[in-house]
Amino acid sequence: MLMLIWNNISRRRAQSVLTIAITTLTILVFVMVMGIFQVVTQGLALSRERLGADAILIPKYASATGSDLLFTALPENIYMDVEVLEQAKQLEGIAAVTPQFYNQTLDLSCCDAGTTRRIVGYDSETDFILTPYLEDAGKQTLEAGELILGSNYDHELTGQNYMLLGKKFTVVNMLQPTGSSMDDIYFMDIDTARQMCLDSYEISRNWQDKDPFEHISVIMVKFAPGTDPDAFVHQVEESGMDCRAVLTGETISSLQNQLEAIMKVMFALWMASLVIAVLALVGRFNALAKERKKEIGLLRAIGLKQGQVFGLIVGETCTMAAIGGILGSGIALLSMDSVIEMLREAFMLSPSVWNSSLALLCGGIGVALAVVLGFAASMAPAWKSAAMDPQSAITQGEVN
Amino acid sequence: MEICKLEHIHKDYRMGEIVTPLKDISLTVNQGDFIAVEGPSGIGKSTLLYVMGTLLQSDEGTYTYGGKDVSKFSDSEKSEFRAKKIGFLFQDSTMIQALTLRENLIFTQGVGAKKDLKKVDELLYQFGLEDRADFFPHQLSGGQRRRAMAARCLIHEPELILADEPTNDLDEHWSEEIIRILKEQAEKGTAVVMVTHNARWASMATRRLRLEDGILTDITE
Ligand SMILES: Nc1ncnc2c1ncn2[C@@H]1O[C@H](COP(=O)(O)OP(=O)(O)O)[C@@H](O)[C@H]1O
Ligand SMILES: [Mg+2]
Repeated sequence: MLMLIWNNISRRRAQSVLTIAITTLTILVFVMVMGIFQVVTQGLALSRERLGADAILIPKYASATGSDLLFTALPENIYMDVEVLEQAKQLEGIAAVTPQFYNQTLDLSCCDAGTTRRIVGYDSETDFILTPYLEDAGKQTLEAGELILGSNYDHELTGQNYMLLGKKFTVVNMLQPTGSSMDDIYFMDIDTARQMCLDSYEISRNWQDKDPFEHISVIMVKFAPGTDPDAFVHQVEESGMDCRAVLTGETISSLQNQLEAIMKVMFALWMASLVIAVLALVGRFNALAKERKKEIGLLRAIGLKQGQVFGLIVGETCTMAAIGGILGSGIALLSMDSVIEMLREAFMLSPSVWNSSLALLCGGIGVALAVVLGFAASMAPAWKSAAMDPQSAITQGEVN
Repeated sequence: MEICKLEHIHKDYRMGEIVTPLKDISLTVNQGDFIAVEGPSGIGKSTLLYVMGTLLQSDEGTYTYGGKDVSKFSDSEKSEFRAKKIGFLFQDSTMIQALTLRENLIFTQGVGAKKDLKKVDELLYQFGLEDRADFFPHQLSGGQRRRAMAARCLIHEPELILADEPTNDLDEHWSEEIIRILKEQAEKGTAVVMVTHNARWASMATRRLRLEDGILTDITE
């Protein structure tokens, strides 16, 4: 029986290839959409949870949006006077504030990381943003020359030296994945980041008549329970402070809305592709059953039972579907990384939630779905063939 | 010893108009019988073999095999019965397309009997197919396929061989050879019912029957 199933598949190659191709493409689309859906929704949920800040105070003139700050690690050279921090502490409805000072790496520099990335100087005394995600929770305050890396950097770097803007650092800690730009950022003590502005020849040119120690880039704000976000924005506007408030929840919501619209389109395409696949497979399996009517009559004549004929046909279709499922899932999972990379660039999203167990889950569901599809599409034709009167199978086979 | 018995078998085909190939058929087949059924084409000879092989249920009359009423068999009992007892040689070429000739024989043997590869090779040799054993059905000539089907109907050592115009597509030499092999089977105790409209091959049988107007007449000389 198994031998016959396998030979029917492998020796009617053109037919099998077509059936397998249909399932492969369907499952490819299915697994991709499912994977992307997972990555995006989980990524957003995680981001919301892990951003830590409810609002960010940024310089009034800055054009940076919330998603620029939260989801990309590109340089943002925005600065405001350090006195804004003192004013911010007086605002109503806040539970905590912490300043950050932005610097950046340069891709031209001889002794540098090679790409332009944001460097964040943070204040370990007041920080509530990255402290919860330190891998080595015991190590919280940083000396000059000490560096923390986001989770996307090589973990073997811990304890190693690392050159930034021609200055030698030691990597003393790393962050757990956050699903935000924090995964790609360099963190150091706020004063170290400021000092680097003066020490780097290229960057010091921007600071000729200003003192980095008198400046900060952003202030991360955590609300006290019950604070109305919109009222807070209004309060900042009214206060006359030289900054404006960006709500992180809104940033995520607007991203979510964009993505949801796209997801809906994808979902519709996805359903359509499933329906097309089922129709195509039903057509194929019907043709297959018809084509082999005479052969099925012969099988019955030499003594195969109805159930065995049914099993033979369904076994064949499910095997082909499973092969298609494995291929489709495999290709989908292999190309997932580049798709995620594309998404991340298009949506300024850093979905670090894609991991091997999620991949296995999506792939497993893909293969299972393929088999279910194969079974569903072949059940009716298989049963019709198996239940056929053997004599008419043999004689009608002659006619058709 | 009796193998099977048909009593007043009646069969209609109802496809628009009613065709009655078998009106009132009674026939007892004994071990060692080599029966030839003759008659013009389209008269119902194949239909008779389908009924005897349980591929077709008669409308009236009783068909007993080994003393048991076959119409009482369930579908799966009939399958088992066919697998063990019946050797079909169909009028048209029917083989499993995805299997080679040898694999066709092995598969059929596996359904009804114990695997015996020596027997497979013996039959391939006996029908002059040893150098075509690994060919697929579509790679064989009509005559080679006919011989392959003849080999297949013997592979599981059935009690009753139903051969529908076994010499179709065959040259003189192989026609004679097939008839000889069928006769030899009958002499060994198998019952053979052969449909033919060739008087020369019919004359080799131990009993000759003529089917006309849905009725069998004994025309043995
Ligand atoms: N499945 C069927 N439905 C309707 N008529 C059939 C069917 N099979 C055979 N017949 C008719 O029954 C008659 C006998 O057919 P058959 O037994 O094949 O004849 P033979 O083998 O003697 O040439 C023919 O006239 C044929 O047209
Ligand atoms: Mg006929």
